[in-house]
Amino acid sequence: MSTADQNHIPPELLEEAACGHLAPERHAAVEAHCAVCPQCRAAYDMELRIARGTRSWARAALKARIAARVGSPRSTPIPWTQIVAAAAVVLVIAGTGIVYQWLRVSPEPSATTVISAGSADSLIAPDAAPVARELADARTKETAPPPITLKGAVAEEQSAGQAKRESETFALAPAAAPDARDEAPTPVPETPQAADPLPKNAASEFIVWGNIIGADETKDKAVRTLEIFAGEAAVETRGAQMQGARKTGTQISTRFTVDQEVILGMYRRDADSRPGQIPARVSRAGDTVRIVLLLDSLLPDDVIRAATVLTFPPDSLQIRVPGKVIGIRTPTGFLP
Amino acid sequence: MRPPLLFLNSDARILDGIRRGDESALEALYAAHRRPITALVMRNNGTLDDAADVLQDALVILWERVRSGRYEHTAAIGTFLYATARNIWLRHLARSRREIPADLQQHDVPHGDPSPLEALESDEDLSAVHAALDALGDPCRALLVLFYWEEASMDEAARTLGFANAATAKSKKYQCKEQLKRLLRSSRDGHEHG
Repeated sequence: MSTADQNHIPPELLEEAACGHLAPERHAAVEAHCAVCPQCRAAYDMELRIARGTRSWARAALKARIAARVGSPRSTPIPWTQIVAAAAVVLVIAGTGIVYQWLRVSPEPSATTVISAGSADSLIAPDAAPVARELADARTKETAPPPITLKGAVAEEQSAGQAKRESETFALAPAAAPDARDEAPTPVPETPQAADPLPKNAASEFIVWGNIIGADETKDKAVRTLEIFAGEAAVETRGAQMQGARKTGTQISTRFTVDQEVILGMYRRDADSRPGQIPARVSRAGDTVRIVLLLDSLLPDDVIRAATVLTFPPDSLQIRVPGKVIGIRTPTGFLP
Repeated sequence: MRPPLLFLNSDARILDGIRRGDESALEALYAAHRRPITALVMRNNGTLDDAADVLQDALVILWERVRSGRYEHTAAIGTFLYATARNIWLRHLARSRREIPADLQQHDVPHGDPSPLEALESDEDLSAVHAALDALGDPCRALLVLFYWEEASMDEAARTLGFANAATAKSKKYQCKEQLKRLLRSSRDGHEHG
């Protein structure tokens, strides 16, 4: 072995350095040696690549498993280099001792572990109190939703169409789906404001009132087009597809059975936004069909377009179109 | 399918699940904390997909911290996730040169320039390692993940992967790393000559 070989850093030490397991002074010594030893520099760089690349691969794999579990369609992740740096900020925040548990101040400061060098410093926030307050604000709003009313062009449009729609009555055709045939219709409240027959879950439900604005009946199915409003924006659309059919164009197949789960499609206002499937439940309240969307957020710009396929037991239910949107309320506080 | 129940898991139970490697704990966290983070992202020029992406990233970070023992449970998990998600999104906005809304500018806004570390961890470089790991396959890949990500000892790795003992696991790790290095070098050579 040559003198030069004997002066090289052992691979195990390079590995420990790449994993961040060395004390600062030893780590600095490794770096200093690599600065003057191209062979060790190359070996160290390879160790760094493997260590960081393997961690990155593992994170991506875990993220993919989470996405699969929750049914998320996203496939173009934010680069992990950004994410790791952002995480460092949170850990630094945790170390300030000002982190709240919701609104409660933690009595003792905690040790800080900065997980990433470099950009982490640029992301350090002075304290975490604003974060906790911001989050607490969001939670508070969830429990005390502001009332939402429709305004402007939407309301005017509704008023214009009201006279025609108010008198319409749809007699629904026999059901097509065997499971729907077996379902008894759900007891209907006297008015839309009556007690909610659906389970309340303030964390995940938005209660939306909508109108049936069209009908298309065939021998074995009854199709209703529904318009639903979110905030001040509203778009009316219609579609008529058999239950279980796929979305085509701007139409989304949905499946309605009273008090059964329903899938609606939601579009955001921007044209290139992809629709997501929203679990929902529907019930009849007086002469209005009530849709309960199980959403995680609903913003003023959201537009929900739904084409509905209604299947009810034969001769058991009629729906009269009320011709106006009664209102929309949300427990989230996201709406103005 | 009904969404998972949201409020039945205390932080302690969640953390315990993560420590045991139970990934279903993340699913419950996702459901429980999706709304505020979705609102945060969507209020700030993001989409529903962005929000889901950010929350998933935050969950991965939480998982990593808890599993490595570096998570300080001084705040509610929700606070940690929210703060992490916000920083991820801020950095993403800065990187993509998108407008950072005024209500987020009260916080320190990360600049979008890559640090030396990030320059080293370029997407291209990471992609090369990812591809090599995919080519490597298991059990080598699993062993390296245990060692580098889970920071498992060779004893733990041997037990997890069914090797005879720590020495066997260590020897296998050496072989796997050498194989990975060959894959990376051949990939680099292929790019240079291609």
